[in-house]
Amino acid sequence: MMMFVISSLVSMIVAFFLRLPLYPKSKYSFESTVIFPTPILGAGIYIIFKYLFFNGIEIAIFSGILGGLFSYYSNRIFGE
Amino acid sequence: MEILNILICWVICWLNFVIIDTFFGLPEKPGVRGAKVIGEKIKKIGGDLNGGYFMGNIVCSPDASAGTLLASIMYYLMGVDGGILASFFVWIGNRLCADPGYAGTLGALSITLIIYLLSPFISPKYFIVGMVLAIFTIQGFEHRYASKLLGEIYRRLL
Repeated sequence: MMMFVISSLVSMIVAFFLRLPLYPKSKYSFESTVIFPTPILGAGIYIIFKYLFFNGIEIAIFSGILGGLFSYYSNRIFGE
Repeated sequence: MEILNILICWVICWLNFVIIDTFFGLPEKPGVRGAKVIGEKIKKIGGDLNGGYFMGNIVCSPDASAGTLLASIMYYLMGVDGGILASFFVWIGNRLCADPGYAGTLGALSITLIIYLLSPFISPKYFIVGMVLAIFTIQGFEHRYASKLLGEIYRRLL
């Protein structure tokens, strides 16, 4: 449970430093923000890596960084 | 005892996905063109337009209904990890379907929390049955009355 919190927090910090907005403006907005969906992406990537490789704090931090980047580029990956 | 568990899970899943979907604006407007077609078709056979949009949006992209079903299946397989993984995949599916993904992701997370809190009393497999029954009452049983009920809930809540 601790690792979920670490990966989510790291992804939110990465998103914050990439200057994503803090919260969505409306419930139809496609913009990635710090509170949604960034922590879910960090935790999801952490679970995939945990089952693929091993469980550890370095995996949690690495997946958090990846989750923040994925959130930042999600509009370019999926389109709007 | 089994029947009682299934009934409790049915009610919990139904409330979970209907409340989250209504709150995130599924009945308000159709997200994609397919949802609009389904909504107008349901209105033509005597149903409610907003309820029809709700049902069309459920069909056209993974919303809280799909999130609830997938999260209960994944919780049954992998525990809490599975629930969070399900919400991650539901978000990707939402974005592929041109949907921002708030309803599906938060639906999967909320049912994961509910199953986790109820896990000493009810096994996760009953939530799968409950969600299948809940989606059957909305999409499979009778479109006119289901859409009227969903439209009424939408007007009462918002």
